[in-house]
Formats: sequence, C-alpha cells, structure tokens
Amino acid sequence: MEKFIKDIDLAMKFYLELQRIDYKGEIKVIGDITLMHDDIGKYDRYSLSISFPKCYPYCFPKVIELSKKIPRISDRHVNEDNTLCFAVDPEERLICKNGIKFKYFLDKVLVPHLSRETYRSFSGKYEDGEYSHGLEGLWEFFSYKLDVSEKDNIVKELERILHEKWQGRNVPCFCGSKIKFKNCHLIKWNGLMVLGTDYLQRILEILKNDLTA
Amino acid sequence: MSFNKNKHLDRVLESYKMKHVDDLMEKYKKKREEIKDALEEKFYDEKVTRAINSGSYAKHTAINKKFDIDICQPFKYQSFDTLEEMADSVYDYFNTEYEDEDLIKHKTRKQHVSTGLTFLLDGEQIQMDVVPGRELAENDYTQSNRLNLHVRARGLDPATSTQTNIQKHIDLIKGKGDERSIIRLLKVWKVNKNKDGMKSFFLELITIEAFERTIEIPNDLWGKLEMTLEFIRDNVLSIRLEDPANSNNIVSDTMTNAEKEVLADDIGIMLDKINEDEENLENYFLVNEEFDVDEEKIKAAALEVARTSVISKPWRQF
Repeated sequence: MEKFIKDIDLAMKFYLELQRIDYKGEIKVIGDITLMHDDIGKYDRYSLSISFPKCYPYCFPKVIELSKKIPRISDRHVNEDNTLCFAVDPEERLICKNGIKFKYFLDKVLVPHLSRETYRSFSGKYEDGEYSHGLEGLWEFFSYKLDVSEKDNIVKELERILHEKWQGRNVPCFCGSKIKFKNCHLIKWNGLMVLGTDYLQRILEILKNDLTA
Repeated sequence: MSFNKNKHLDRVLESYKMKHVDDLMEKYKKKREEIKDALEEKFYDEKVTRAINSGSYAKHTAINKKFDIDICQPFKYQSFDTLEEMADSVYDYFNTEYEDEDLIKHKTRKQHVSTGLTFLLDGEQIQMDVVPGRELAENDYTQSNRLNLHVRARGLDPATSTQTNIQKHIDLIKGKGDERSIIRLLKVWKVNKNKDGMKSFFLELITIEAFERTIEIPNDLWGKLEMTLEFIRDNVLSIRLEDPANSNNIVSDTMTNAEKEVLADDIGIMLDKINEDEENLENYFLVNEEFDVDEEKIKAAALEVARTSVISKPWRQF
C-alpha cells in the first residue's frame, strides 16, 4: 500500500492539478490535466477521475473524463461504464507486463490519449487510425503484430507459435524473407510470448471460434 | 463534426483571457502605479497605505473586452471633514491639478463611488477608477480592511455612504475557479449582448450563491453554466444578496424589479434556444475572434503529443 501511494504521489509532483483522495476507503486521483506544447503552450484541459482496479499496476488505471469534452459514445473510445478505453487488451497487457508506474501511465498513455481526442474533436477523425470495435480490433492487432493480413494465417501462425517446435535461430526464416529467423519472426514471436502462453491460448481460442462462427 | 458545448465554452474563455492583452496590461499597470505614486504624494498626510488594486482584475474575473482597472485609496480616520470632501478632493486633484499628457482631462468624471479617469495610450483609451475610502476608526484599516465610501447622489437617490472591504471581496472569490469561469462567461454574454443593467458584483454574488445552494455541482463547464443560468432565472426576482463585507449593502437592490424580470426572461429564452439547438450557444457566448485559437496550430500540437503514446491505436472492447 505504501509503495502504491508513493508511486501515485511521485506522479502528483509533475501533475499539480491532480490530487490523491481517499474515497470511501478507495484511493482515487481527481483533478485536471492541462495539455501543453512547447510552441503554443496550453491547448486543452480535461477534468478526470482515476481509480485503480485490483489488477493495477499490471493493468491500466480506470479513467472517467468528467469535463464531458469527449462524447460518451463508442466511436470516441468510451466504454459503457464511461471509462476511457485506451488500448486493445493484449497491447495493454504487453505494456503492463512488468507493472506500470502511474507517472508513466500519465505521460505515455493518458496524456497522448487525451491529446488524440483533442485532435479528433477538431478534425473529426483519428489521424493515425484506430482499431475496429470488439473482436475485429483483436484481429487487427494481431495482423499488425505478425504482419499477416488473412485471418486464417493469423490463426495458423498463433498455432505455430504455441504448439510447434520453433525453428533454429540462424536458419532462414520460414516466411521466405531470406533473413535469419532470429532477425525476422523470432522477434515478433518473442514479443507476443511475453503475453504468456495461457493468455495467448485463450486469445487463439477466441479468434478460432470467431473464424468458424 | 458534432458540436460540443464544453469545447465551445472553453474556446470562449480562452479567447477572452487577459494574457492576450499583455502589452496593453503592461501599459495599464505602469499607469496604475503612476496614479498610486501621485495619490501618495498628494495625500501623504491623509493616506493610510499606498492605494491597493481592486475590481475584476484583482479578482481574476476580468475579460479582455471592455474592462477597467480599479484602485482604492485608503485614507486615515481623521482625514477630511466629511466623506464627500474626501471624494471631491480626489476628483478635484485629478481634474485640476494632476498633470499627465496621457490623461484626457475633459473625461475625468465623478462616478458613483469613484473618480473615473481616461488615458490615451498608444491610440487606445483606457479607463481607470479611483475609489477613495476612509477608515471606520483610528488605525482600524490595517486590522480590518474596512473602509467607508462616499456614494454620490444619483437620480432621485440622495448622496449617502457605504462600508466596504476590498480584501474581503477579493478573498470571497479566491480558490473558486469554477465560479470564476462562470462569472467570466456571464460577463462575455453581458458585454456582447449589451446587458448593462446587470452589475458585475451582482453576477459574482448570485453565481457564488448558485454554487453554494446546489447539492450536486455538474462536472462539466456547460453543466455548471446551465445550473447557474437556471438558478438566476428561477431566483433573481426573490433572492436577497448582501455584500459580504457589509450586510447593510443589499447588492440585489442594485437592479430594479423590472431589470430582474428582463434578466429572468432573457435567460429563460436563452436556455430554451440552446435546448432546441445546442449550436445556438455560439450566438450567446461569442468567441472573441481577435484572440481565437489557431485551430491548425492546436491540431499540429495535439497530434505531436498524441504520437508520444506507447499505444499504437485506440480501441473499444464492445
């Protein structure tokens, strides 16, 4: 508990408009985040309520945007419980695999997310795209991670990662890239294995079911 | 692209920030200090302290359109035979004796509780109000901050006096960031729609009252503004607002019943129109186009910061 509070308080030193509160025995962070840029100074501001689920720091804190600048609709990545949705589930898991620091979450997840929403409110679109809702987003994530476009091939490759003996590191990669496995797919595969075999197996089952549905 | 009331109001507030008129403010502040120096020299024996800043700029409720900077000069209890003499001495000094090539002499005027000065600085006319006040008892001001003001006769109302406490007025709004934002928005409406009947102090007090009397304050800016507007519409006719520095000064009496009825009607119509079509908000709370945000710059900045994310793309689970 002490470590958890220390982690939050450290971040508060950099985000002076946020404050830690004890709400009915639960630690929360409330207040504002002002978005700043070196050239133009302050360019937007959001009021927020941040809570910490049991899985924290191995998952993201839950954030509700109170200033209602982000419309509470799915197209704007707001979940049904009004919390912001930051990332596709396996990506969140990858980022939090070793436990996340609250300041890192603010700096690298929340502030860029809010900034992306500010951009969206002016331009009407997400400049760098977004994952589709629900399972389709999961397919897109693995397609991006494995650099494979067909759903069949995504499943095949996940099966291969999980259930086949991996080829030798210095052997040319199976994909035909003519570079060694260690410099090609091994990097991608190791990147995904960080998620854990149990988790990957669950994802594989979900994707297979979706494919046959 | 859908209209977002909170975004619009944020943009309005940003465009009316005093920081946009920093250059003018610097000139203003320099002139204000010159006036304080002049008062200190002229009334060396009568003054308690150097004049203090007062008004909306001191309270951080000013907007960058149609604003003036007020100063208040505290005088000793024993100075001047009457409060009227105090008020007239200050007026006479600026009207006849004070020499400043920036001062537009013929515009020096006696106002309700102050002397109004107009300066021409780099082609711009700026207003300054000098409010003289006298201690209530010997050596009382430094302890209590209370002052007696001379209130000049106006229309059928005879001259009178009133007690005030500038520091208390400043402290009243201190730490009330939400209320200040709403007061500034109401001033934007007042200035753009020529609602001169609404006194700024009245607006401040009724906004603070709206926040104090509401159990669940909305989190968003529009929610807070709507709450305040509904409160004014429903209570302006009956509410009694006392000056927190002087319970004998009934601030709600500074508007006539007819003016209050017009205000309630105006706000009612405004709320109806905004409910019919939220984009009507833009007609009531106008962006100060002179200082409107450069959308392209914000977009570029927002995108640059967004791209510092460790997340590839946003997603929604369901």
